Amino acid sequence: MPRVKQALIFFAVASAGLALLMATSAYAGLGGVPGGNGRPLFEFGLLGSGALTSSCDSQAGTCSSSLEALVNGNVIRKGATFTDSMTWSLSSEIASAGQSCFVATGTGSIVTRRGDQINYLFNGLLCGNSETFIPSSLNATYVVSGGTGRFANSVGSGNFTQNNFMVGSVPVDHQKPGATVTNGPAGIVRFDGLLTARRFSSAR
Amino acid sequence: MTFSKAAISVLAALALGVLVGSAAARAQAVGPSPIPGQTLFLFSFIGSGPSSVACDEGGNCTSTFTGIANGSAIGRQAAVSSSFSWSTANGGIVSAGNICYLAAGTGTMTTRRKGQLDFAQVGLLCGPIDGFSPAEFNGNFIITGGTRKFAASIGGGSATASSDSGGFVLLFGEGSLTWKGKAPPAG
Repeated sequence: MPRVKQALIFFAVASAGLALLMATSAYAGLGGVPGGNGRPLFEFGLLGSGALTSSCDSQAGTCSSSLEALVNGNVIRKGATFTDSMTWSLSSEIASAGQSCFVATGTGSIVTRRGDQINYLFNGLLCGNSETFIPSSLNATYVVSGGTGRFANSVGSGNFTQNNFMVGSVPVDHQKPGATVTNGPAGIVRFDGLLTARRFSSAR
Repeated sequence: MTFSKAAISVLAALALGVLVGSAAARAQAVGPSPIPGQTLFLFSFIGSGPSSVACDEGGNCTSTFTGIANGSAIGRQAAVSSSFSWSTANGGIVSAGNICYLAAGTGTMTTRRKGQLDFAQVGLLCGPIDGFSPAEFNGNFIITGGTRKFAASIGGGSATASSDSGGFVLLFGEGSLTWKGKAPPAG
């Protein structure tokens, strides 16, 4: 009987230790190497969506778009405001098989609900149907260029994808930032990369 | 005796609680969805299979791929087929002994239980100028439609694929996807 109790205690302790180890490793993700600014470097990801506006200047041969979205992510937590604006030159077109791609560059910011801000810039290929360009997709690299609050001296970089599509059938202007788009152009954004921050939280 | 029982109970509860917490931590990350009633979540998949390439005299080439994939929303052993084409007639982007072409096409993933997911892909297909093998694709995928669970899905992301000298393809994609209901477990 005592052996059974000892075995039960051992099992419970071992289970708790193993579960704690699994939970910790699953929660924290990769990270902890020096970030070059005296702070540790961690994986950084976000996902969200919002309304998109775009326009082209045929005389200048340039187009631009801007996105206002809500995003969730580790480090920034839930409900952060994500904005970006990008431009591309029509002369940079690469066309093949009914698709066109342009070199697009831009800047943006992520503002957490507490007011901390991450600024970034990005470069990549914006591709879509050669005639309608809807839907379109951006495959880019982002580089953190600055920030405020917890992100005042942050550095980081990674992959940035933005998928643009039309919700409904009638293009309309959207005045308010937010995720849900009932009718008109919208975009889904995702970051997958690295970031340094003053305090790290991995809750997504 | 009483202490031992209490210790066992506490430790067992701790183990259970942490295990539940651990499982919850592995749930797929979600984001604010652009479509009412649809959940936006991270989506990724890996796949492999054989491919073949054919080019006509005009320099129009098409690659056809069939294989299987596992992923966070598609489950295991989804049948994947895709084809994409590119033109060599106008030359490509040449640098350091390699050449890249803009390639685009469409494909489908047929899952075992959740229906079919349709997508389009576009990006750069690159390889050595001499022989163009191994070849690598680095581009985007865009969800264009689907059936059943994916009937109203939207999403997309980045996709990479590599093809060896025998045409065997390794496929990887990660991005976002929407569907009605809860997000699936992380893949």
